[in-house]
Amino acid sequence: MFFLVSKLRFIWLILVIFVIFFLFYQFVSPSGSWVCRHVFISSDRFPLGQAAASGPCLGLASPSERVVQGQGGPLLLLGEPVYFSVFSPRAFSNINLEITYRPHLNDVAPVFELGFLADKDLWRYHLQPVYNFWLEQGLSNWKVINSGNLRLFQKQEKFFSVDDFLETWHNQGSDFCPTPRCLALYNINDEDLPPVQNLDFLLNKEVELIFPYKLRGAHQFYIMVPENGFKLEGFLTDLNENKEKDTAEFNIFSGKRLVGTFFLPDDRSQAEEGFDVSEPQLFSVAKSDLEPGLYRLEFRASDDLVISGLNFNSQHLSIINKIWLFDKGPVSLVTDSSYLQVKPLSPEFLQTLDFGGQKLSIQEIYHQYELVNQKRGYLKIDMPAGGLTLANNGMFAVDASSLLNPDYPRLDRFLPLDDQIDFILADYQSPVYQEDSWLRSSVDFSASDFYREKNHYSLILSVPGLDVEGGQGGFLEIKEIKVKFYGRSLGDKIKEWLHL
Amino acid sequence: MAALMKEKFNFKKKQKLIVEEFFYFLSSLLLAGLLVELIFPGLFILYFNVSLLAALWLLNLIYLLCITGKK
Repeated sequence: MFFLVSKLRFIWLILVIFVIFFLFYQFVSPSGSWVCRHVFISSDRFPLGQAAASGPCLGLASPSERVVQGQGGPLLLLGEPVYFSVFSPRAFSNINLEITYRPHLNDVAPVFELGFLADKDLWRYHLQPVYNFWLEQGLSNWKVINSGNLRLFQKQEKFFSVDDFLETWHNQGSDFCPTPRCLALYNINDEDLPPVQNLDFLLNKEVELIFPYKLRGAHQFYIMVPENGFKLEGFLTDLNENKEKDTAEFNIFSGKRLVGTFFLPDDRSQAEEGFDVSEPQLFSVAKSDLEPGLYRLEFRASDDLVISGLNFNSQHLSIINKIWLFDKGPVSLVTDSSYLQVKPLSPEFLQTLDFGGQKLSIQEIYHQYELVNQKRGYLKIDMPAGGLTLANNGMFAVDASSLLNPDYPRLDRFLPLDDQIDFILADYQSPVYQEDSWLRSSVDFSASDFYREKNHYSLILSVPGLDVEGGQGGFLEIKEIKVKFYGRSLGDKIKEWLHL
Repeated sequence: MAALMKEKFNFKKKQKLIVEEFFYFLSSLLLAGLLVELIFPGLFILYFNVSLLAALWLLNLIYLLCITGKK
């Protein structure tokens, strides 16, 4: 009997030790790669080569009302965005994602992109193109020339090679344009691009700007810094609705380069989560050695913080893409986009707003309203009360004279292809066509700065315009998602450590 | 008769030992899983169905209590 006990105990102890070693091996991933594969169309839900897996490494799609999945069928995306959590045993420096899908998209929702959460505070995802309806089917009467993944679409043929175009563009800027802002870009790294227009003439205007409205949470601005450097003053109010401390940061970027940081600590006496609103606290940030020119100013803060009375030492201050107003009184803004997305977050701010002469009645909180105006140029937004989040693909400013937009038009669902745009430059890889009209796309990411929580990355599938309620944008079928995490192997790390 | 009784006694003793060892094995596995989950969240549950393991452990425990309780 003693031998039986010893034998059994030996066997199960070996088994437990084997399990621990196996899990440790998975955690270390000595080969430097780890694959998570999820096939929606069959019962194969295991990570590649790991038949013992019991739980999927790709989490459930959320919000669930934006997706439908039949028995053994593909995952149908009816609304957007859709989020997944992706498990990885440790952090890796690179990600390659392969997705097999069938797009049923149209010009209402022409762009399918996916990406990973890079900044949790600003809720910023790093997106890469997967499928673009315009580039695949929508520009059939345009002239197209390719050079690798670079594609140049021309309404009228003017350039005969992409290199010829790039040379002219880099030497002359946008002077080849018959009309201002005639060139639209898609997925082009904007680090080394010639400016969309010369903004130097704005530097001479040394007029102070007081932004009259209160802004809640994180925001990004384009600013024109004058000769005497950068100076910004304002007030900070803490709503104390969340439990974390509410520190804030102002970061100044020139292109993608960080040139200044100002930290605003939370030394306010009120208790967090106590709904005890703090007194407005004066802040002042300045950097006198900043070269005059265009900068991007990033205000990183939680939704508990409200900035008000912004006083900037230049006339030009534009809010990039998204604004959350906190005023109870009337608000009047200007935007350079003909599209507006509005979301009310409180019943007291239900109202009828005016966007370039077009009325929008907002009657339901947390509902996302969209409005497209046929007019071009700067459009006025008049609201009887603030308390709304406004978003679009352009800039917001207090008036037309302070609005500046240094970004090239982007090939998205709101780009007016009919009149202004004569050229489109895209860095885009077409999907690979497979059996039964399935398409396979592969996208690469540098994952070193991606946000990872509890061993999970946050994956987003985005098809702007795909609306589960309206159903106008079409839908997307997804057959398989395969995420390959990779980086340096254990051998490489040991070699580096030993300086071999 | 005595031999038969002895054989039956031995079988029950063996059975109890096996069930006991299986209980220790499942308990160790669950404990190891708990520790792994605390240090590397999501890793253990990716490869093991914890609900199934816990159900097996519970059934095993009930059975063990039943056979231990019988005099």
